[in-house]
Amino acid sequence: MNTDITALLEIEWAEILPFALPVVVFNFLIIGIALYDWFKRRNLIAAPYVWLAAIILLQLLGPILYLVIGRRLIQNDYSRETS
Amino acid sequence: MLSINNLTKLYKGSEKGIRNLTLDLVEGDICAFIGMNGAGKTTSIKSIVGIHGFDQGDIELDGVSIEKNPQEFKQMVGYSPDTPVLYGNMTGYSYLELIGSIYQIDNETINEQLNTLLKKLNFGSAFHELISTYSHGMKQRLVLISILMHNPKLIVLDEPFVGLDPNATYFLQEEMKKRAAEGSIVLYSTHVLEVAEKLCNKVVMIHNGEVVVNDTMINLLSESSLGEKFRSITAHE
Amino acid sequence: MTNFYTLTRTELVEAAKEFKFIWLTLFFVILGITQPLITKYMDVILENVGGADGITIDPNRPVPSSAEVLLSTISGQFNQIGLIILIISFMGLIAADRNSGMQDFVLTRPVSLRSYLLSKLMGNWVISMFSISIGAAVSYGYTIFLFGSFSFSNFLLFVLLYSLWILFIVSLAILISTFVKSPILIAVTTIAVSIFFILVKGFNHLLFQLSPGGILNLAENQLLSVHDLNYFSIATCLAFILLNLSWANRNLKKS
Repeated sequence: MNTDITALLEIEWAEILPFALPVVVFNFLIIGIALYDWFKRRNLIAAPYVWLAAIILLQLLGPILYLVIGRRLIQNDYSRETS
Repeated sequence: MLSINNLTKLYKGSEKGIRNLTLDLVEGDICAFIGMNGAGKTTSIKSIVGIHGFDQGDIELDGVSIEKNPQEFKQMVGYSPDTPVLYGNMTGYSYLELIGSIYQIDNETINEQLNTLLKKLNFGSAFHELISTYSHGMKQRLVLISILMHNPKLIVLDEPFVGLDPNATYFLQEEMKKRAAEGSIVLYSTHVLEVAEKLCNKVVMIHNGEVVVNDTMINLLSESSLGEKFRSITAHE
Repeated sequence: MTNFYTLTRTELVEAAKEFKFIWLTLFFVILGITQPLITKYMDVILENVGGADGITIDPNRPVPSSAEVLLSTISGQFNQIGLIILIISFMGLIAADRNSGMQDFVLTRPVSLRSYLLSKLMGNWVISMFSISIGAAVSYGYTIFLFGSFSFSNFLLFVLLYSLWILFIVSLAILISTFVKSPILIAVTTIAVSIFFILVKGFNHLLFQLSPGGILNLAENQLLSVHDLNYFSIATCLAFILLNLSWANRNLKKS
């Protein structure tokens, strides 16, 4: 039980990395998709730069929220007008 | 034959809507709905094509009631809304394929119809591009093609001439005349009275949800022009 | 029925063009990986993150079983943050169709309301279960690697039953969107109602066992090797889905 703390850290990190790496890669992928979509629609959506900041700064939640909500909030939505 | 009997549709909590519209149209008729914005034109049209129900009355096309047999009724109708609504992510072609499969038209008939329609509307290469890149006029034209594809018995158009270029306007007018001559019934709403005078043989004027004129064009024109009649109806506002 | 097929295909193709299959799957995979990883390496993480000096970890704490980790992934991650994101992505279901005029497109075509609603249900359910299944499968792989083996057939049964719960959620979102106009209100109401069902399923009373949350109980019990299982909740869940749809159908007809 009385293990040297630095030794423990070295061993554990080497062990964790292969597992943790996919998380990091997937995170970047999802940010990539969000950025690609943002770039395509940046002239369409409302508050585009707020969403850009959210995609880049907020881990996982930012890109996901952009993809489920942000891309649907269109500037001057004609649907608001009722006939 | 389209027979609308005593159609009434009022929106909850407002005076707007349409009251007691009775109208009989036979094959070959082109009928214009004329009225100010909010008079009840669109409400009537939406009831006729089945977008919303109505409080009273009945609508039948060749004896098929929209309430009892909605699918059979809608199979015979082609409707173009005032704002074209399309799947932006599709190409024009895949959109028409979708429509074709909904109406269960076989591919051969689709292609045949398309060739003639596309040529007349000079659509060109845009046909295989995404709909979201189309201009308003092009979307309008795509909708026109999509509602004429299945040879509808009843053609309903809500403000069809808005946003069309002169060529497409000409095409649409000719197409309306041609389809009517071939035995369809055409019903459309408009603000352009001069065109209606030449194009239509029947007129319905709606004011504040009431039908104020429901007559043949010849009868009406023997008294006064459409414009004069319209101004006299709306004068006391 | 051909119309149902056409509309469902359109729904799925539209989702594919928006990369929805990819990002929703990535999202659930990340959720599925994170939970087992954090559980396994909690102590290392605490040591590396500053400010955790006061926290001591019992070196003799019991190592959680695979079943426990899977359960915490599903009920802790998938059924909370995952469900919320899923419902927000549904909120466009009927409301967006109505606002964009797409509903008029469907209503003026010879398409029955039933085909339309069923295609919405089917399309969104397929998208959701595609993502959830892959996320859960990856999570399962991680969990058995890190915490030891767990019966695959039980896991499969769990995913199947969980998919019924998702089917119910989709039908609920459809029903609520026929009542409420604002998309945000639809999402909030749907989330509130489903969280209510999740909370209520814990109570051991017949009434709660018969609520739609009962299916979730049954699914989770597949992971916990409980023997006294109430398979009746499959029937009640399906009944609730039918009720939601026919109610939605009536609402649309009236409007």
